[in-house]
Amino acid sequence: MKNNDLSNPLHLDKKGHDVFIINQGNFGYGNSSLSYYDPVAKTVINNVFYGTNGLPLGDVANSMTVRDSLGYIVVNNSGKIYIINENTFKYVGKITGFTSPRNICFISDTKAYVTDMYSKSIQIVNPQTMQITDSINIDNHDPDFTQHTSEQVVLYNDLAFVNSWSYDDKILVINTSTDKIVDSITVTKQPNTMVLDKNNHLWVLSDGGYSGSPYGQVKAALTEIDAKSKQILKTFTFSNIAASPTGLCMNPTRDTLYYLNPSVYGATISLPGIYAMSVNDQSLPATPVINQDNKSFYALGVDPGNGTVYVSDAMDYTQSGKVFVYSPNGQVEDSITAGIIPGGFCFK
Amino acid sequence: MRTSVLFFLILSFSTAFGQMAPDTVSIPEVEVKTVRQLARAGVTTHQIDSIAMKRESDASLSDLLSRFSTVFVKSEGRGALSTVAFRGTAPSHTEVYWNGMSLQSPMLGQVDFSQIPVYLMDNISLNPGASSLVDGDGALGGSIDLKNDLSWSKKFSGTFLSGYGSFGTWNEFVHLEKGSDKFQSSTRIYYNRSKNDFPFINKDIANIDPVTGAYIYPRQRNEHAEYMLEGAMQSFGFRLSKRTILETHYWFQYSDRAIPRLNTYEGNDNSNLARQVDRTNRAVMKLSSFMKKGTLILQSGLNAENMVYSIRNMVYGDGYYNALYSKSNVYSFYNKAQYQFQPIRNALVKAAATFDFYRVQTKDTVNQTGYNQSRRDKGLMLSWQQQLTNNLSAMVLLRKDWVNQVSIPIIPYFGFDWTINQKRKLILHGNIARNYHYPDLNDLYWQPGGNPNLRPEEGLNTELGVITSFPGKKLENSFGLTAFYNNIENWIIWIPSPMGYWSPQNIQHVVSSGFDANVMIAFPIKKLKVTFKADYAFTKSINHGNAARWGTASVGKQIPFVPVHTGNVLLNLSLGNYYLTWINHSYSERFTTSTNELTMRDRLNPYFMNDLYIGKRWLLDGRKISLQFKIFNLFNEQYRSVLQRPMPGRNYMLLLTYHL
Repeated sequence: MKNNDLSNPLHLDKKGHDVFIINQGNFGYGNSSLSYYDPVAKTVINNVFYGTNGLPLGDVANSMTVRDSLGYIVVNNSGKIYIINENTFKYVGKITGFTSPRNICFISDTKAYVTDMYSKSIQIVNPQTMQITDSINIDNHDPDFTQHTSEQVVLYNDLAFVNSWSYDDKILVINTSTDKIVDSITVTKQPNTMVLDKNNHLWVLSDGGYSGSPYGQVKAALTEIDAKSKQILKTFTFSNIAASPTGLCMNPTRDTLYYLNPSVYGATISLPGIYAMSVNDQSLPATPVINQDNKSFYALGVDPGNGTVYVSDAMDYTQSGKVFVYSPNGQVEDSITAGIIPGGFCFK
Repeated sequence: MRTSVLFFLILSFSTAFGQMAPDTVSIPEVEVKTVRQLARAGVTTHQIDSIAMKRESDASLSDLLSRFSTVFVKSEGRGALSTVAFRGTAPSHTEVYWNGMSLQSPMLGQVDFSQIPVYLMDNISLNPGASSLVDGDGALGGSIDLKNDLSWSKKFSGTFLSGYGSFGTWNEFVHLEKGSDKFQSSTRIYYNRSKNDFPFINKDIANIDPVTGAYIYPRQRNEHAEYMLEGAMQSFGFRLSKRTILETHYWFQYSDRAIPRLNTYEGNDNSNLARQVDRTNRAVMKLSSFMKKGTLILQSGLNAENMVYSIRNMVYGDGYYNALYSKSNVYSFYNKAQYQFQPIRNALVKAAATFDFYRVQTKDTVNQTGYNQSRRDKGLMLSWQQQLTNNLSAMVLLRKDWVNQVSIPIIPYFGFDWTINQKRKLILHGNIARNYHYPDLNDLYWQPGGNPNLRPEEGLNTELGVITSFPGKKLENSFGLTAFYNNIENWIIWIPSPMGYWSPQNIQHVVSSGFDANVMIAFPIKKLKVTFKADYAFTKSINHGNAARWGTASVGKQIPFVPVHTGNVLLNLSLGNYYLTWINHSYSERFTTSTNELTMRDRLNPYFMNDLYIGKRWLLDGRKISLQFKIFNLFNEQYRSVLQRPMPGRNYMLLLTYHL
């Protein structure tokens, strides 16, 4: 076996407001990767992490967050966060020692929360020292399910809203000064994604679970919550039990929601695709803004700078996936080949 | 070694029946490479020869097959899950039979070959492609037969094997045999464990030197990879009458393995601790009655497998808890009645009926997912074997199966053996069959994602080959060349969904074709006995994909994890009581993507593994003692079987065997 040393490493310095595509790779293969897309020149560079650093990114990269010229890539099944320079992609450090990390959310220069699928806790890290400093226990000691899990974090004033997706129905509310759970909101089963709109309303998309789940399956729903009062304002329920929407995103003016409502085996729905909905709408949209057609949509992202919509197609899941780029109203702008199972987008 | 290729060139079927008579039930102790029985026309059987069986007695079946056959062995690591695929098909297309009973898990649809110790078996043979239909249906790739022979020897015999090897590896085995004309007993007890903590430099992660900025690759050990395997096997043979034999075999095994994390893992040391514990109880009973007109065989088997797969995590402040704790109880009950007779001269007819029952109870006690399902398979088999001329024989075989109440289309087989030249033992053989592989219970019912609407996978298997050996007094030799073609439709693969779970679908269409070739030459140079053997297989396993759905990038490409070239070479030198065995086994590059993309990050480069065994025998008052020293990975090659799992460098094993 040849080793991983690269004879010709990439030497890049990309300063544009570009897009990172986080490719999960196959679980257990350790073949996740990072792609870099320049929407102006319409060029993509794949494998920028490996190409620059000569190291594999790891097993199932889940998300990436950019802060202060650094990119933090959360590698779920490798239990770590790689820190890279956002322009040169050079590996500058890492935070290790997690169990099943999902996302990183910065509270301050010296504090960030790292959510986790299986540690029953949220890890508090110091990005400057690259150490785990503390953790917030979110174990409810339920004997039947792993609760709570933590997925995304949405900040509002000194509150952090954290969704517990897997076999759960809670939005945990944490005071970011004390790092204590101060409240929790019960929503429709399996809240997978959240965004905060211009009115400071928290929108939570729940997939309702799957058919035959021991946790039960209910119709998926979109829940609107007032972040200040933590009261549920409205619940928009999907009419088809088979609908399993995911990937809730927000446009730059934070008045339009986007989500992915795919059709897959065992959960076939009519009119699968990407839906857009105004935060003022009184009902769920009836038709998608982007049709799935014969693709299999996997992940959705919306550029908070210009509203460009990115959606991936993982193809047969064992080859490089495609990413389709659309204007906010659903016109195709580009289609590119990224890495294996493109599962997330990060906008510089 | 007496003869290399054993031809059952039987011109009359009375001899064929003779072979099945009670006093010659066991296959004679000869070196066998490819057995061609005219009673099984067109059927190719590669029998693992006695050199391999002796040298690899302490090994697992996966190690034996990777060194001595051209099947592809995919290993997750030393002592870890190993699967076997024939001729470019999937591991689920490989059936394994132990004394006629399937060992394939009806839940997982595969067999872990790391869990079958070679010293438990007397006879191992491989039936690729359509040849597997003589054993049973569903093996679109091929089948492997593991057999225990009863020696019917009156003498008490005992074998004690004790091995000690690198990385804290211990292997202990006892085999005791005793019997009479009427009764035979064979007892085997074994214990095998390894710390398995071999060192390696991990180039998949690096720390940055704070001063120079250079990478420091950590020197690690293969942590959390220990394994233990213990068990016992008891066989009894009863000669109930002159014409009736009852055989029983019971096999208990307990296995406890830690599953290491990937090379890129830098998470909590106390998290993601995966472990698999398997308890299996297997029993087979076979009654053979050699009657005047024909032979009746009644056989029943029970395979009870209990598996616990768990992942433990450390919760800050709470201690350990299970993130997954999956308990599975799998029961398989097999029954078969077969009658064979000669309706007319030069013909042999076999008729069989089977009834199999499976039950799978599986539950993850952490998230309450699981299922409890059963399945009933009924089957009928009829084969007609005809000796058409002195040199030509043919066989037609039909199988008809019902799974639960679902009728599976008829499975037809046709095969022939044509002896072109008796003197050179030149035989042309061929077969063709259609075969169906029913989805396993996880495919149908796994939660979440199981797909109860799956259809059976559908295969067309055919092959054409020649074997020959040149007559010579001192030079024993054999040569074989077989071309094969397999067309598999509705191939089941699991694909993920945006909802975070995987689901199986009948979507792949694969055509695998190629050839395999083997050579054996043995000759003496004065007192030195030289044996040379080589096997090679060329396998093109091509994805015919679904271009409309997934684009054309993966169409026409090699299936992931199928090497185009597979080969092995054995050179054995024996001089008096000393021997030296060199084994090379090689695989060409395997792809990990359906599009065969090559990135430096993901390559599974070709490897050429070399092992060297040195042994000496002593005879003391009729007792035989042998000492064997094995060097694995002689050239300390860095290689991988799958991505991000290290394999050990050069390592050693010392084996002491004592025969009473």
